[in-house]
Amino acid sequence: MRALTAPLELVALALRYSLAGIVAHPWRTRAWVVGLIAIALVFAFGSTLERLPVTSVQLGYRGTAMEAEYNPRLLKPEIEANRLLPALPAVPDAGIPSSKAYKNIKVLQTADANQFLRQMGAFANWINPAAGCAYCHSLNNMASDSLYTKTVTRRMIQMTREINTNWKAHVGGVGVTCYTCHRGNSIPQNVWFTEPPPGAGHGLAETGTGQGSPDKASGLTTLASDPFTPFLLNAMPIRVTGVSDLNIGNNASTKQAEWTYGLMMHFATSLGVACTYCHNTNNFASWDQGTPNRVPAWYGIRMVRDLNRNYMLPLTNVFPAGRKGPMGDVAKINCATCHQGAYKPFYGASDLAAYPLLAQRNTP
Amino acid sequence: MTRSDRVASVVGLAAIALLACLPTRSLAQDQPAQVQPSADLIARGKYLTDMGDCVACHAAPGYPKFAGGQYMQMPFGDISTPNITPDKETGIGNYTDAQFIRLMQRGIMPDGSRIYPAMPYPWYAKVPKADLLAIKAYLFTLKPVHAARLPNKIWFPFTIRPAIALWDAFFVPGEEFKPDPSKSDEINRGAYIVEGLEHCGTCHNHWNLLGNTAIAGNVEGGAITRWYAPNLRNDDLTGIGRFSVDDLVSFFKYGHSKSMGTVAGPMSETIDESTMKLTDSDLHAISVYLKSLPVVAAYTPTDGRYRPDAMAAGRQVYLSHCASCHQDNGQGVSERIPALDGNGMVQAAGSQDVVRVVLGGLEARGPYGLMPGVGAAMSDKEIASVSNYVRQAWSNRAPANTTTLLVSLLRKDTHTLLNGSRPDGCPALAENDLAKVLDDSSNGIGALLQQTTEANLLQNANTIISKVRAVAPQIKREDLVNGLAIAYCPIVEKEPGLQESQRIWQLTHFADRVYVQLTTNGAY
Amino acid sequence: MFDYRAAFGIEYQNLFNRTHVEGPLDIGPVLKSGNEFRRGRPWTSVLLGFIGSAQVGPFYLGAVGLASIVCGFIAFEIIGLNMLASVNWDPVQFIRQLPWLALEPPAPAYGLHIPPLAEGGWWLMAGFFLTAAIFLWWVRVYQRARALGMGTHVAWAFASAIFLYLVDGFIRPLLMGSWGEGVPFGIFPHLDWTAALSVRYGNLYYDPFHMLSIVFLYGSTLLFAMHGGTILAVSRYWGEREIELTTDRGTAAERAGLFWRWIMGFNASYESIHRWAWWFAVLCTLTGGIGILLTGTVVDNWYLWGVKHGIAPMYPHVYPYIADPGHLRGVLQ
Repeated sequence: MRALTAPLELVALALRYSLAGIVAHPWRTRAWVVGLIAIALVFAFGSTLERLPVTSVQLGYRGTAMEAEYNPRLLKPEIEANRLLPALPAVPDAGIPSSKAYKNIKVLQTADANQFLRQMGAFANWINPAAGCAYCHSLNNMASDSLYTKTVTRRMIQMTREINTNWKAHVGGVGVTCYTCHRGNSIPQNVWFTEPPPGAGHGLAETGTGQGSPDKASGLTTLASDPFTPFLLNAMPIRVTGVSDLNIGNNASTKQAEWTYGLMMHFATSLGVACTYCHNTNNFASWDQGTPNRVPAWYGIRMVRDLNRNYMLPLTNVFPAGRKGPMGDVAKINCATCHQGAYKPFYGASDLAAYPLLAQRNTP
Repeated sequence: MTRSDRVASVVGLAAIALLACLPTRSLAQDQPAQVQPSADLIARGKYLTDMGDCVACHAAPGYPKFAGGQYMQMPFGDISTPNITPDKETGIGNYTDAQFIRLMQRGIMPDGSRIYPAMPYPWYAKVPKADLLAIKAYLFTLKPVHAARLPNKIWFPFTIRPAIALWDAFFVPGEEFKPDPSKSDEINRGAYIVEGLEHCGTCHNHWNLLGNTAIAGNVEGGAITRWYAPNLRNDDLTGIGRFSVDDLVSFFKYGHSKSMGTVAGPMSETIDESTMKLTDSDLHAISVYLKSLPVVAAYTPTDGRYRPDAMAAGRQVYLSHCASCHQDNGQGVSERIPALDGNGMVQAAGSQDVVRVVLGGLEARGPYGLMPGVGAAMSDKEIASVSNYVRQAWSNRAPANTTTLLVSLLRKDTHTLLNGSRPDGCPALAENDLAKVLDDSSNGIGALLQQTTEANLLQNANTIISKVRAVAPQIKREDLVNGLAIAYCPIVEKEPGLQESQRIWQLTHFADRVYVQLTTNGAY
Repeated sequence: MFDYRAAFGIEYQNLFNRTHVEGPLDIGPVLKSGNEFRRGRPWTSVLLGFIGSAQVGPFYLGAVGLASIVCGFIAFEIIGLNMLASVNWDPVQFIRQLPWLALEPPAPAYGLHIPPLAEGGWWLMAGFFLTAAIFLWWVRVYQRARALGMGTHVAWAFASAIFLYLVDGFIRPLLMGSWGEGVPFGIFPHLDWTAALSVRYGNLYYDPFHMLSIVFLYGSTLLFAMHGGTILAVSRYWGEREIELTTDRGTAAERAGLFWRWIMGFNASYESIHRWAWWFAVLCTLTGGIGILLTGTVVDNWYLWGVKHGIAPMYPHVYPYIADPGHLRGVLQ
């Protein structure tokens, strides 16, 4: 045992004598102290402090630390990365509907033929600009439905319209286009799949509890690796905090709180905000102590649930292997899918007005 | 550095070390004054000149044909191709027959200096003198062009030319081609073409600078100018075993065939300038000869050596960027989009071709559509993983040897219309029927093209095609697709407010649209 | 065994001095019958007693100590191997992700039933062995104190910490009727659990016992700093000989007492300072344990409890009334 610790002992001995030296030589002591302070300052500024200025926005009553801090320098690249594509120039109407000009039109059949083509061009730029039309259309026969991507796109157009017309409680007048989520990627960069259930395929050991790993979904905590399946697909109760001082029947467990917390971390990281954007953290549950931002967020949860259930799940069998998750499930939506780090996608910029076909109500 | 590069440098350095100034072998003495060649001889000479594909190297873009001026990128430096028109000062106008033959067969200039084996004289050494003289007779009928040779850019020690003698002594065969009496006439004819004028081994041998096929591996595949020339032996998986003679003939004749897809890379020039001009019987002979060679596999097929998670990542990229055209099963679309499953280039031992095509795209050829330079918008990692994926997917079993390093190197070299990385701007539209149509302001086609933006390109492409078809129905489909893309290029370049990537997309979308309109005749 | 006392005639002392001193080692008293003997030849360690040299060994194992170590090892292995399994037995990922890895308690659905091994059974088992190890170690601490004729203060201070441990992992889950209320094993996981517990029960900071626990926690560190500083400061007057100075106040004790009276009007004595420190430390975990014990079993929202009892303010509204959309009629749930 002594042999094992001997090298460490030597180091300790050396340190001890150098400390004795500090005591014996005051000027050396000063040099050491100055050096240590310098190292501490460099570490503090370099690793923990942000270079000023930081803008602080007050979100609640004074003294409650309800505020959002923004560093303009760090915000700038974020704003650059969240820019809309320039809107395509307007084109004159052709005067005939697309269903007259082209075959096999199923969703945009009432659109003017020219506006329809312009919208098609925008789709190409938004979703897979390199592949262009060919990503969804067989070049042999544009009308053919042979590519699964075309089937998916039809449903996605309907989904976009659903969001823009029936979910104004969440998207307001800003609305969404395909580009809000896709940003030139055939699969939006932020989608999620359901995780395998606990213990799947690992024998006796306890694995896959949905916790205990660096979870990107919940801000690199260990709270929940998949807080989406219970809350954004199923409607498990999100509210866990007691609403009265003494327990009068709130059965939410601490584990449930961890999953809710995980979901909330996802909200925060997706929107680039902290808890206080919606909540007063002295009592998370309280609506009247929080901020009005919590209301659209509440609708957002319901919206994403609706979209995942009614638009994504029915497409499960349309997607080929390789596009699905470990459980064979379809890629699904969460907050980051659209928000991508901004409190409002594109920081509130909207080009929906330039694409009126996407703002129309779905025909039943 | 490819294997051939390494071999070349080793050989070169060995030559320097020895500095053996071997005496040049003497050839026939100068012959008496020349007689006027017959028209037959000139016609035969032209055919053989096409077969030798002289113009591929001896004409740079912007130079008259055969006037040289192109830099050949060799492992030891850049060599400029000389003027071979009969100009007396700068061309070959003063060459006697013997000098010409000595140059073609031995690589020795009239002044006794040695030329670099960028010129395939190790292959031409096998060509009978009579055929070489026919070539000379044809070249002397060309209009002399005064164009001095550009200076070579060769690194020391390769600048020491006498050292080439040593290389020659090792690698240049001493004999002209002799038919093998045990083989059929057709095979012998094919052998004569492949091993002689067509010099296939310049690219398709693995040590392709060592002309001697006994050493260099006869058409077993090799890397060349950062492309990979696949194995031409009759191996089912790694060579041409799956392709019939008819497939090969069609490929040599048109640059595409039903089971082989389209040609890419330097081979497209070879087809356009050389094999396309050969007779069907010669093409048949080449194909039969290649199929008759002993079967050699280019590599041991690998299965599952590639990690499953990497395969899944490659599949993601494939689904995003490739599957909609080449299909999930890799079969492509018959006569529209080549199959990747069983594709000779995809299955080549080297993965350079896959990466270069992904990076640079392909022009339309025959019924096959234009392939966009999808790689321009993909990361090196994505391209490497998708290349490894297609080389291992379906029935393909090629080594998953694409690295991000290879992709980044090839990206620097790949400049095409379709990936937008053109240091010298948009290419010029050839002087052809389409150029005339576009120049003619009375039909309004050029003006419409000028007004075409991303917002209206789908409808404008339709209108442009129907108008072009009305005034010039004779223009071939692929020429229209490629030509209109070239014509649209400067218009996109000038459009304000676009990012570079948007320009590439817009050009590609336009070209796609033209192709679709042409293939479907608007029936959708 | 080498008898230092016989050889050198003096025993080991850890000397505070600017000069590094290494004295003869102390083999300790002869043990009465019924005790096992101590093993190993002792040595001094600069590392362990960083200021001065600490004597290491000889070691007393004993049946209870060995049993404790075996139980602790079993718990350690159960936790470590389950963590390793969760990264698919990849040693590199094990090290990279170690701070995140967890052995989680069973799902709440299992209540107080015994879950399958892979779904919390291992957690129960690890908890059992860890608790056994801790209890046995407590017995060892108690027994050794008795064997040396000492008081059992250390054992009871340790018991206070064990109380908090038991409340977190055993008593409170038992009262709540669910093993799932227990603390996960793991570095970040148990911190995340703490944060989640606080959020679930309306912010633990408003729990008065939590407040007390923090007072005693910070108070302990403050007392430790004051006491350590004082003794070091008077060590030039043999101030570190605290027991002698308790019974026979010398100049060191006089100076230290004067110092604190002048500073803050009051001084602890050489004896009472240790009672101060002991009680602060013991009360830290004791009050903490009570605070957790009440959380969930009695109190469901500490903030609201705090508002009701005048501890926390109810802040004025800064926004127009924000209605819970879940309570609105006709809203899609």
